[in-house]
Amino acid sequence: MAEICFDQVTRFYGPVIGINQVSFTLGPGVAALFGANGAGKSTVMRLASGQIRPSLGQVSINGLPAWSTLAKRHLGYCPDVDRFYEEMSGWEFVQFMVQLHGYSSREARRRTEEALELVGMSARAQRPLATYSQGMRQRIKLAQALAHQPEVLLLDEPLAGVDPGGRRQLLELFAHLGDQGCTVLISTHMLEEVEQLAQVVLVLVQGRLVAQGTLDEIRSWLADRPLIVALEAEPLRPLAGELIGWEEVRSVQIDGSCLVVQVRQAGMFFRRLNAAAAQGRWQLRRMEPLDTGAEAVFRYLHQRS
Amino acid sequence: MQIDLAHYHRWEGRLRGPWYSALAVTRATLRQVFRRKVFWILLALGMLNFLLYFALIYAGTQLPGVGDRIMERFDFTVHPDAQRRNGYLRFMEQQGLVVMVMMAFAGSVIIGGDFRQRGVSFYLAHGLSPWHYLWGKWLAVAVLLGSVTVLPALVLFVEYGMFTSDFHYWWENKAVVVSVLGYGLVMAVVLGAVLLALGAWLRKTVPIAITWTSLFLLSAAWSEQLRRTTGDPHWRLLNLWRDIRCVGRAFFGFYARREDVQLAPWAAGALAAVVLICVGYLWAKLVHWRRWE
Amino acid sequence: MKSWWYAWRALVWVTLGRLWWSVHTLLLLFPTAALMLFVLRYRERFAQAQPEQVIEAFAQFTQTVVVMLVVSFLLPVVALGFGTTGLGGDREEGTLVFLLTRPLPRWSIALGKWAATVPLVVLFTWGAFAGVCWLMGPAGRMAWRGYALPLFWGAMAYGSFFHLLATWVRYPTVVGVVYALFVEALLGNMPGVIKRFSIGYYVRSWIYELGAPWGVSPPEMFVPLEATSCAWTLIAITLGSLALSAWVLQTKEYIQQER
Repeated sequence: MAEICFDQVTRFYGPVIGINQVSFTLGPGVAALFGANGAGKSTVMRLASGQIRPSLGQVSINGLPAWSTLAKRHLGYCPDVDRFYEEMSGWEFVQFMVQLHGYSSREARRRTEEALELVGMSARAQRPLATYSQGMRQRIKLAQALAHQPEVLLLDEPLAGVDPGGRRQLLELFAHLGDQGCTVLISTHMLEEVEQLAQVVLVLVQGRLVAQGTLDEIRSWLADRPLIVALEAEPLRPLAGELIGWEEVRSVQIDGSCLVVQVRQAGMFFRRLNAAAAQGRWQLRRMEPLDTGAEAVFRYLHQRS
Repeated sequence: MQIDLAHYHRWEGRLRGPWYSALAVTRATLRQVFRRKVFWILLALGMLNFLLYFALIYAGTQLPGVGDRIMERFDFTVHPDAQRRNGYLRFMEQQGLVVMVMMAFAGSVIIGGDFRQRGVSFYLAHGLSPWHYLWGKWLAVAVLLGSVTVLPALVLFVEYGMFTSDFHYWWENKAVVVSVLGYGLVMAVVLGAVLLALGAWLRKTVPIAITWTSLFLLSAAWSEQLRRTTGDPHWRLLNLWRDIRCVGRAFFGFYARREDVQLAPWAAGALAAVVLICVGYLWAKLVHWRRWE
Repeated sequence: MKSWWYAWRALVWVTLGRLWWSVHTLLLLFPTAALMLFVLRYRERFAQAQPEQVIEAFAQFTQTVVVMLVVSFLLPVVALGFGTTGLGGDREEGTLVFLLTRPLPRWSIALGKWAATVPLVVLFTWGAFAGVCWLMGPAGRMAWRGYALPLFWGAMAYGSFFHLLATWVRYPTVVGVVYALFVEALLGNMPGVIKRFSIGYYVRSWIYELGAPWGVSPPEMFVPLEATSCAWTLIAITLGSLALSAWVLQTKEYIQQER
């Protein structure tokens, strides 16, 4: 079974700690790795792809140590760095990468064609890499990671420089690979885009894994975090007056026909609001949390850390 | 957020001219070179000769009777004498190998990287013309070159004077300072122009090193061979390194060979032509560098 | 069907192609051509009609061309051009990550890069030397027969040593330049045993011994080693550098520096 496993992994770079006691196990499907710059995302990717070894703990791919040659048979890696053999064409580059997996020339050609087709680069693959746009280079990097049909796919910032239409295509491709049983780990800053397809989200803050699960799970764990809620009710002003007296509410603002409520403890607030609405003192027409997106969750976790 | 809150405000002082701004280019370039450990190793190896002469002067002045013989044994003359020997010139010429290797190493760091990683546009977008950029880069080359030739030679001159009983040595031999600076200037102008042109063209360390060494070693072999077979001393002008020495020696007031008196103006002309070609290439490269990419 | 051999062969072949069709080859062809033109002119100094004239020309050719220009200049420069960039180019350009994340044992990557670069160093140096010898006439042919072997092992040792530098240090090309142009020139011409740190010293010693019966003698301060010792030392440098580079690549972590 395709699996990435980090067991109490710590990695030092001299006196600097890259990641600190990170543990997780990922199975088939798409997982997203979030974190600010310097949070440790690239360290996780380098460890998982066997470029570096953990200082403490163990990293394994399908049960094999990630550093080992055998583990790399199951691995496809799309690095974040924009480096190529510039004089080669996209086609030659991907073919060479496939050949390095041990395929014969004929088989490598076939797989190269398939992979280029998959990332939408078939028609433009014969040009030298030096002439490619950033988005095209990104697709070539993806093609070399996909061409040997790996069980585990590590994608470090795979959407950087790709145009919006291309992003949609690639996201569909990642979702498709996840559905087919491939374990896809995407490290990205594009939170809003991958939250739709990531079944698991890993949030790294300053080298620590501060949250793991689906985005909904993470939200539910964070029930008591501050939240901004929009309310539409009738009558509006008495409700505002009542809410301002509540312990859980930090501020209330009237915005036209809507109340914008800044809540200190979301879980407690919703329970009390439910109870008050059931008593029928006012009629609640609409209730919408305004900052439940992944960005807001991440921002909160980062601040708390 | 208002712009004031971000602490952005207009500079209220007086801005200096771009020739002065080019010093920032020099500083940044030197910092890039100095942060490489290998440069310090190279500098340490390159200073071995200096340490030898430094100790020699000390021994020569502090050991009565033996000192003069030691200086003579190493052929280091602190007083330009009747045989037209000069220890400071000798030292600077012996540093040739160090200069060659240091320049081969520094070429890609000084200018090659700017073209390879497109840092040129960063400089040229800050109110600097190509001339200012080149001025800043050339100054960096001159500082590096001076640090292994001119500066140590002047230190040796100061050292010897300090071990004498009065200030007469410095005053009587003040021409040595001018000569050392003049020789250094010739080296800096010619080698700086050639190195910057090669760096801008080839960009990476190994191609620069291959071309740089081929230029100096093979031109020396070639010029000597052609002079021998044809008997015409003008073939010596093909040797760039020799041309530099020939013109540089003019500042010391004497030449190694009699034929050099005749060749010196030609050598100066050859060097001027090389510098003009290199500067012209650099100018064209910088003005049209986006098109060349 | 998947095979380690296919992967390794592709690595060697692609590296060889990239090195050969690089600007380095073009730049190395210039000094090679200049050297050949030099010899074309140089041979005019010698009449080589009589056997004793050939021997005289051979002795002069050995000193001026073989030792000073081929061994002391062309050989280190060719080794520098190809040896440091086979693997060092991948390191400096940041493409090594693509090789290290493939299912090839790391030691075999070092071996593959070596198999592409070192033969290229040997063939280029041999090719240039053969051309120079052919242009020189009878004395040159005599030099080829005598010195092809020391030059072969010299090229192997230089190439392997630069390959080791490429796996070991962060800026192999810079260190290679310093070694080839400075350490070799400085140490190789120093009195005493310190010159034994120079690879060129062993090649020159070997050449001096082979040329001795025909009047080739080393400079005054140069104390040559026996040819057998030189041969074994050059072989040891070759194999030792190869083994060490394989071990270094197998164990070392290469973290890409952001430019």
